[in-house]
Amino acid sequence: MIRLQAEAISVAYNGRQALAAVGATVEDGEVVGLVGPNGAGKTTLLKTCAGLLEPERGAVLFEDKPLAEWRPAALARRLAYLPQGASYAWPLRVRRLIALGRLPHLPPWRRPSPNDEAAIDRAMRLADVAHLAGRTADALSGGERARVMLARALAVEPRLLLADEPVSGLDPRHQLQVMEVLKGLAEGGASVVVTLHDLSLAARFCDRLVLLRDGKMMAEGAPAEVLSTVNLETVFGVRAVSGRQDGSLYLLPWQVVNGPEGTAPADKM
Amino acid sequence: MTGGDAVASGPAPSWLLPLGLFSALVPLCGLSLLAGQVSLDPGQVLAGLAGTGDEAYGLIVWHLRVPRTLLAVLVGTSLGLAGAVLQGLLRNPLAEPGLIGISTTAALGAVLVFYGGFAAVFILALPLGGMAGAAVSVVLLMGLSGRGASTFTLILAGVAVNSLAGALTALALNLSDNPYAATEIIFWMLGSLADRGFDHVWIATVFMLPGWLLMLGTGRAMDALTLGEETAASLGFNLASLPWRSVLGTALAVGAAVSVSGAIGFIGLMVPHLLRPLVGHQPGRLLLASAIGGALLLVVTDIAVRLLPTEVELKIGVMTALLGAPFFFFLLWKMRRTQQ
Repeated sequence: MIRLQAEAISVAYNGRQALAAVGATVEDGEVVGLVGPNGAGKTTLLKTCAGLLEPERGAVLFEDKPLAEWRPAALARRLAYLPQGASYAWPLRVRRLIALGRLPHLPPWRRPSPNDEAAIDRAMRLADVAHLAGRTADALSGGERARVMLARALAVEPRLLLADEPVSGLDPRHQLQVMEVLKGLAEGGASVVVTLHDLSLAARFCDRLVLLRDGKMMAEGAPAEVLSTVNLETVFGVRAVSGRQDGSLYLLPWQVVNGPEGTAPADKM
Repeated sequence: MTGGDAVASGPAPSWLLPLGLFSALVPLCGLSLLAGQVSLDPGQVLAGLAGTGDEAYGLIVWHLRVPRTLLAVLVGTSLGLAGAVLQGLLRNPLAEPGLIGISTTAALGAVLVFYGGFAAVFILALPLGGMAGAAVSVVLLMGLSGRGASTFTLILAGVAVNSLAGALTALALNLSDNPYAATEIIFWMLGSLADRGFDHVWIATVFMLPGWLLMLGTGRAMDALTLGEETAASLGFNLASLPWRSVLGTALAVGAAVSVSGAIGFIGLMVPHLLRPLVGHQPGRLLLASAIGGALLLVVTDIAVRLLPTEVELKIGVMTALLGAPFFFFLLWKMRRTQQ
């Protein structure tokens, strides 16, 4: 079944065309990676799919229904969005912070049920933050905080997780762990859309990749096709060392090349 | 029990702190009935309450002390709760109705109504003026500094709003044909609970109650807002309506409070800050606790101004400022240290 369908989405952001007629579908049990240089529109696409940005043209269908037609509360129980950077305003204890992910499931004026507590426990185990439960958010390292925020999103028990750079700032072990969690989520029947800068992780853990540049979709499909030598050179402006391990592709960006236009891709965060 | 106990998963149940504060508030209200120029012992106060004793006791208790105590509770609740809501909404521990000019603007609104002669025509005009003033200032502040604004911007915007409203209030009183202008300025700017009657209590209650309900209902959204606006929106909260519910609640409660007691400052700053660690820094759980805590602090302060052996009774706003301003310094110092 198709979980999410973005149809020819165009988004303008601060007067700039951030996305131009981008389309993508995400099926059940799939991890779809969004890759592309900085400023390509990955985050914009993710936010649009989460219903946080209204597309100028085009539509996003979640479970065959336009996002705008979903009741916000019902959508929030099925779709979780994990933003980049993971900021928090108050230094809550870690478990409380993660428990915020259960808010969409709580009936008004009701306390969390044992079911909610179990979901929080599972999320904490998966994100490897169970040992941090009693710490306050301001006493966490950057990597710990990123995993706590992942646990917060997992606590929603979403059918679709939209994760923006969930591995940035993590050590290698936790990068692999987080990607395995996302993969596991998909194997459990949910769908995952994730933006990634690490092309090896993208190649290894994503079922399909969407390659963006300057708000346009450059390629879409199996990782090995999308991350072709030509695409790496023209879209990313790099040449990579690559190989195969355990049947999956790995890539190590090795040197800068000038694209056909003679310019390095625009750098914008 | 309220929107405040949203995600209470921890050792301390969320009703414990509000209940504890409430059980401290009740005996303090009793104490407040004992405090005053005429010294009455508990038996005389009880007789006065029951209407069985000397008629003079009854008059003092029912006409002076009961309304004064009730107003301390009502105004304190409004200020404490409004402080917690504004801090949650703006995600800034320095947001406080007095400090950022909301109370002063409410006072301006009330003064304009009072000296425009509307108050005599229509009994609800005064609180309506106060509320209009409060609402204007919150909207102005949100426009000037934006949500999630830095402390610096918020305080600057507050200073601007505060001084303008203060100047306009003084101007209005100066221009009015009023021999007691100076005294009136002091009342509106510093606030007082003295010489208020039951009509003030009723007028305030009518507007405060819906304001409180609106504010207490924002608890879960405030919790979600801890994670930022986008995440809160992805959790299904309507972030378009939240600021307006908060503004309306604040305006109703603070506007009504100021129109009966003048601008009493710092309650909304101190109470949420002192209670925040006790609720695990959770903004939603802070709401009910701050409401009761605000009542508690104002009742205590009001007892203190009556017990202090000063020649003229201190204005309660002077007392809260004397407590609150050093507290404000301390907060700024602490924030600077953590930002370095």
